[in-house]
Amino acid sequence: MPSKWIALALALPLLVIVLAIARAELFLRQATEFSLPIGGYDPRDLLQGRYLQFRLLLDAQHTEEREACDAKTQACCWCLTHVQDAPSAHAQRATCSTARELCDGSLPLAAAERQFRFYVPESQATLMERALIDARAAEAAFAVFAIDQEGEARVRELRLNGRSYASLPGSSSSPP
Amino acid sequence: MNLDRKLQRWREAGLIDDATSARIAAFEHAERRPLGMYTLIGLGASTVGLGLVSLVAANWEVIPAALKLGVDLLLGVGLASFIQLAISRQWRLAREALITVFYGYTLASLALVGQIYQLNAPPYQALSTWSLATLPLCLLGESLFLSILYMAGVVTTHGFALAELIDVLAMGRNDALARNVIASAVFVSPLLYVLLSFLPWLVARRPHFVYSLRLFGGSGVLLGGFALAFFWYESLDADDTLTWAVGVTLLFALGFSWVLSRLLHAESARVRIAFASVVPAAWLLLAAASGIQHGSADYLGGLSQVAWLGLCAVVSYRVLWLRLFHALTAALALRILVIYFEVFGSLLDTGVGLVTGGILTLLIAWFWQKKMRQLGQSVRAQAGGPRAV
Repeated sequence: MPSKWIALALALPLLVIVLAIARAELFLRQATEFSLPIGGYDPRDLLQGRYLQFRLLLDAQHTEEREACDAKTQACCWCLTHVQDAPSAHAQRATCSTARELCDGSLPLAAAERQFRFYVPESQATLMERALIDARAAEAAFAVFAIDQEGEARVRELRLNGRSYASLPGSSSSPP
Repeated sequence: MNLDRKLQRWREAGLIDDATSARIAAFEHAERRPLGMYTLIGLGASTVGLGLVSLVAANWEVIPAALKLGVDLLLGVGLASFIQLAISRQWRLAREALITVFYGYTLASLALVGQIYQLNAPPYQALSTWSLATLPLCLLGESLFLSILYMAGVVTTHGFALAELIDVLAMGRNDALARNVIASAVFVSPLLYVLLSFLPWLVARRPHFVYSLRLFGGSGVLLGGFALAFFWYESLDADDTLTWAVGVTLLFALGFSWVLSRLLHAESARVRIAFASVVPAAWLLLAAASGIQHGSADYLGGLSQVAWLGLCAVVSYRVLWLRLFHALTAALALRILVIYFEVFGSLLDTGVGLVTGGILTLLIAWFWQKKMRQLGQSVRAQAGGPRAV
């Protein structure tokens, strides 16, 4: 077998791993961060370990409208606005075009129905689950999301009862 | 029976002389690879790979994320270097073991990136990336164990992708579209494996991959055809039946059989016709069970499974696959007995059913024995044993 082919076969898996890291870093550099209220529970993934699973506590029926939007005929979004000293961003319903143009950030309306995961160390899983339950009861459970121009959201860190938990390179998390 | 005992039998039967026996023994001993050792090494290496995945899953918080990624990449570079060394020095066993570990390491690394960056992508995406990125790597290996391990990974990826497709379509409001797309996708899935196994490069260079593709594809067709009968165990309303998928799957079935016949042009017409009949027969079962509305009809489900197993047994008999023929005939007899338990309710009915079922099973056993003799003669006449067509 030609040595070029062997080198390619050996380099390809490494290249894919490096690209996956680069893509994730690029996303975080281009995205804007928003803190949003959450509620959730704790299951386990065989591949990536324990995680806290949660939904956004955004209620499309009872949230104020920045602009009327009919989800059957229009693309509707959450219009996100940073609020000084508030624990989370302000969310209003609007059309996606308005949200992208006039708001600090936008999320598709369906994001409120999606389950998000936050992977946690196996040894900390029970404590963090407890911390999430307590924080939720105290209405102090938030997730910081990095959201890009297209409205794709990735969890960056959790803030439970004022404590931050992160897993990214260069970030530090305070233990529960 | 081991080779030396076989050679002794053939010498005693006057089939070969001492010189031929010695030449065969010398050739086989020179070519022989320690299958047990390959399997043991493969198992050990895949356990290391699985251990890496588990270590990642534990998400050790004492190591900072940047260090985890750095060590992970260094480990990858080290593994790649050792594989390169094993290939250049022609260390066969080390090469197979290291490729197996690298295969597991790649999955663990993708999981690590997903864990650190909190990527919420569905599992099929990471699995697809893994399977595609490691295809050239696994093609560097030459062992049966590695080819089966890789193909098992591909089938798992395929299963997750189909499950995701089902989830996405189920969320839409068009149930009929979802049902028809899913049926077509599932029907065509195992056929792809069989067709890929005829790629000339694979046939010439990687016979174990060809074997694995046909093993998984053939098993998919066999089990899929058997599972189609379960549609008869539920009642199907007009809103639940397949519509355009019946036509699409018919095109797939006929197209596949035509292509297969062309690919098997070197085989006898008897073998080509036997193979070409299998997928259209599966389509008939699909069309009958899910193309028309019907009530719950357990007995039809049982009968269609008997018909399917019977057809597959006949095909394996015609192409001289002895082990498969025996396994399918045994499964057929067992399935017939189970039908009697399914159909009859009272003790009297069950008793009558068991007596007739037992007689039928004995008849199958008699027919089986008769065909075994003919099969043995055919194999001896062809002097090649069962062929891996």
